[in-house]
Amino acid sequence: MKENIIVKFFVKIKNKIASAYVRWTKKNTLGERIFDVVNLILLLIVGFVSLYPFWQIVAESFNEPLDAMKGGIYFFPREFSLIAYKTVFENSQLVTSFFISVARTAAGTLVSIIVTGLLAYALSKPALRGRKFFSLLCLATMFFSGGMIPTYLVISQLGLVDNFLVFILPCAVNVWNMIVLRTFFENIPVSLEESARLDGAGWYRIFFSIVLPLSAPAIATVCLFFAVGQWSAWFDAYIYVLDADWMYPMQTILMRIINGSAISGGDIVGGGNTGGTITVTADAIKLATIVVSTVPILCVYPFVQKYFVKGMLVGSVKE
Amino acid sequence: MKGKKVLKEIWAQRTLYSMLLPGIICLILFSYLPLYGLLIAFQDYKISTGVFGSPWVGFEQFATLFQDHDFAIAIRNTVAINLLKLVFCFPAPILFAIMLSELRLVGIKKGVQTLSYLPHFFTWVIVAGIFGDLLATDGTVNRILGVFGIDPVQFSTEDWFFWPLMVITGTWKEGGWNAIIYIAALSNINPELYEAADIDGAGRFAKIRYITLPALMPTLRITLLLSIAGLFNAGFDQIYLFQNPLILNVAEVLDTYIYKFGLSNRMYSYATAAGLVQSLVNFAILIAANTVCKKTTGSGLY
Repeated sequence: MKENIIVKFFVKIKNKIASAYVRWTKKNTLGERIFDVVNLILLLIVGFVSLYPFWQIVAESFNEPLDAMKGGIYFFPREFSLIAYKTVFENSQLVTSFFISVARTAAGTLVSIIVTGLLAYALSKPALRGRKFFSLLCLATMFFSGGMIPTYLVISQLGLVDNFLVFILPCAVNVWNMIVLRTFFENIPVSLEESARLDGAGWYRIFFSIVLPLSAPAIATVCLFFAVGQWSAWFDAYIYVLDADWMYPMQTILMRIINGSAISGGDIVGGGNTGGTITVTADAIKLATIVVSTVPILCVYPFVQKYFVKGMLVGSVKE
Repeated sequence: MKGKKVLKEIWAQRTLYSMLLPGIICLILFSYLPLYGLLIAFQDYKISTGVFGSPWVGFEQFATLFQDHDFAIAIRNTVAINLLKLVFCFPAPILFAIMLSELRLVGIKKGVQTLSYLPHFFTWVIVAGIFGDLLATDGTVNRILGVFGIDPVQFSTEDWFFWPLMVITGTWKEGGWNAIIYIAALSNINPELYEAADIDGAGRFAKIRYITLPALMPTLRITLLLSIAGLFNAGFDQIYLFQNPLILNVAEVLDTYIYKFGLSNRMYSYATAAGLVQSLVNFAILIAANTVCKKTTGSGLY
């Protein structure tokens, strides 16, 4: 009885495919069908190429390090081993850097969304005197910038060198994200805010208890932009953190590992050797660090991509 | 008495202004103060004496700059890499968007699209790590070449390979992501257009040629303008993370040149002068491209 159902199911699917195939051959000329097949193959290759380089890194990072040096690991680990990850998680500098990355992402996103959000909200009010001037003040920064050196000098004279705030303040306002938010705020029905104002609510109250909840999708999108920006940043720590080594976020450490400039395998590899015969190569640590620093973003991106897409479109349409 | 009324109005809006304040302060500190700092391009700036105490030297820094052979090389590399990207990286997302729109298998379409975004979420640090691994002398690429009997190539020190590498990694990282905007433009096409074309007996290729491509034109005009406007801007991260001292003659671009002179050698004024030249040229290109675009098509960026 049960088998019968399964068989029926497959027959149904087979018939569906068959009829789809017939429709396809009827509707399309030979040239179009060849195009379809080639197109499908090319797109599958694109999908594969997008994923594979990282996949290989993951496979290698889970392989026994000395064995991995022989190469030839393409899809799955040959000799499964967690030693590289164990070393990474036992290395105090890497663990600290992971928490620095988490801290700057959390604090930076929070500060940025509040500062940028308030700015966007005030600028979305047509009644605001000088609105045009302030908008222009914001937009102009997208076209002019002092460049790397003057910015560096300003930031160091503000006392932000070796200061955690250097990760947060310079990117507190993002004009692009401000435009995304403003566009959204402008489309919130005015009547809602007006009735709240009649009840005596102030602008801050309205912003935090009416506007923010109503704009949840836009806020989520922009928060994600900020969070990804914070998580990926490496250059600010690279130039603004001089003596406070502990303040390096993971990307900066990773950059120095890959560059071979600072932490040459040495001190890290030493940590992994305590087990006696087990050896960890600098390469294995590099790969494991790449994976560890990427996983948080990889875990969320498939679920949030539609928000990203929306945010990008709002911004570009407004441009 | 008008002034008094304005003041009163501003006072009434003080809460709104207080909302502007933190953001505007940040912009002034981190975007406008550096603009003022551009002045040091005309000085012999020393940290100890500051902008007010450092001697003015006029265009001396610029004179030295234009005599520096490495600066000329950096300009050449910047423009060459950007032109290559314009030819190869720019059309890739358009092609990808059209190919996706022609794929009727919804599941595969979604899957490929999601996968194509993936590299966008890797930072350049990670991309440099991944490709460094792939292109190592004993890496996957060399193994594949080995199958065809080609001797291992040390890609990281090959002069000729750097520019193509920038194009390849640029397309790999951002191609899928940049397609979003075109995919959105395609999804806005009125389906009736395709139906009408069907009735007229148009084939698939005719529909791509006469409906899909024209629908992309407005978007394409803007993205093309923006790409051209960035001709003097090679992007720091990608280049810096892939370059190494052995191939600087092809890998040094304006941004990395400025970084090295400014922050590694502490020649602040000199590097600022280089940065100023870069911004001015960029700005001039933007204006010129926009003017041409306006004249030929009737609309531009602004």
